[in-house]
Amino acid sequence: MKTQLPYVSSEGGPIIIGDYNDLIHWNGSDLTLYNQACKVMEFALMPIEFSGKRGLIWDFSGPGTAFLVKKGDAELVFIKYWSRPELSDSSLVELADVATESISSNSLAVMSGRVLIIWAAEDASKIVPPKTAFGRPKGLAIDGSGYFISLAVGNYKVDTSHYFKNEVEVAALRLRRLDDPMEGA
Amino acid sequence: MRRSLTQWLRLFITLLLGWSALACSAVSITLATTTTAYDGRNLPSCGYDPAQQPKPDYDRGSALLFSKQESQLLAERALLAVFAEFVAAEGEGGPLIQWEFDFVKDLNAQRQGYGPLPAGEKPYQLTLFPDTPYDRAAQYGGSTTPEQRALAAPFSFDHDPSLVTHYYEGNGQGGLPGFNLTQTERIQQYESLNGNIVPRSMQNVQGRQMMDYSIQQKTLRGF
Repeated sequence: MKTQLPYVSSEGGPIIIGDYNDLIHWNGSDLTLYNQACKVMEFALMPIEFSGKRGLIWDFSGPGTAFLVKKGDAELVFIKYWSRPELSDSSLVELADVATESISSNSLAVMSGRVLIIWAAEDASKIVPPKTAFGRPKGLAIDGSGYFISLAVGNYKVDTSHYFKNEVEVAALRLRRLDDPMEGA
Repeated sequence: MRRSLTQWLRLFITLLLGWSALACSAVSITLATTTTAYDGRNLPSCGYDPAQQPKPDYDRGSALLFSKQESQLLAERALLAVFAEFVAAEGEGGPLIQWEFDFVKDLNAQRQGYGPLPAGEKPYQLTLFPDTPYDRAAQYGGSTTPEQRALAAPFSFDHDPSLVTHYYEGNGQGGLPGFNLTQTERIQQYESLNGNIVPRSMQNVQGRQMMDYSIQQKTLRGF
């Protein structure tokens, strides 16, 4: 693998993203819950409720890997790309630098300051978070299928998009903190 | 067949003497130590290497706690199987080293089945068990290739066998498991167009099944 960027992989099935304190209640081994998550449209975002908590389901089109290409205190971007040969870190970051029309939008409240992004088939209640503010949790059923990220507390706008840049197909997920804390709540 | 006292005594002493070799072998197997070299020139060693022990900070995580009993049971069964085979070999007068050597020979034959190593790659050690669990992005590649995606459109390309199965068990045709292949060979498998074209819904189901399979394999291999 050429890149050193953090990533999250799926062997088939969507990805779920949410506040860590909420997602620890997510259990993808519950078939009813998993099947509900799989109802999301390709490249789109779908809110899902479970055990009184909330997360966002993102379908990045089949098995594969999304890389964390941009990270600030109040913003992050994940992209999945289809290209051979594999792209370098700088090329991946370039792929994210594009203004695109979003396919779907939603909001996410980050109250714990930690966001978990994980393959929806995983049972998040069994994972052990890293001791650092971000990193790979332990206890994943398949290594590489989950990642922790620290973000400033607040409400975030979440967008997904699908586009081509330099003949490379890209699926992207963007989180951006809303200026007005009440906006999107 | 009734054994004489001398025969029983001989068997007892043989077992006693053989136990250290057996224990050594079992430790080697369970700790996934290297037993063979690709070029076949090195005979299997029976030395207990402390460097092969799990690292002190190694933590399996709470997710694997539930499977501890199952893991222990599997380990005990594996040990019993080794013991039974050893006793059988001793009973027939065949030395343990012969049994281990045959095992190594099988691995080398499998390696040869893949043909010569890719250009520029040096001979390497084969292992009984993987050093690291399966990780799609790190060991095979991220997403499907554009060619695979185009071939399967509007459906999904499905590797056959799945990548996680290939990593732990090989291609299903007698080939080495992915963890015993070079990175180049794993990538070749990953980029191959030999696969199935399936609807997304089916791939979602398979993904879920692969999660169960991965848990099973990680438990079996002590991760």
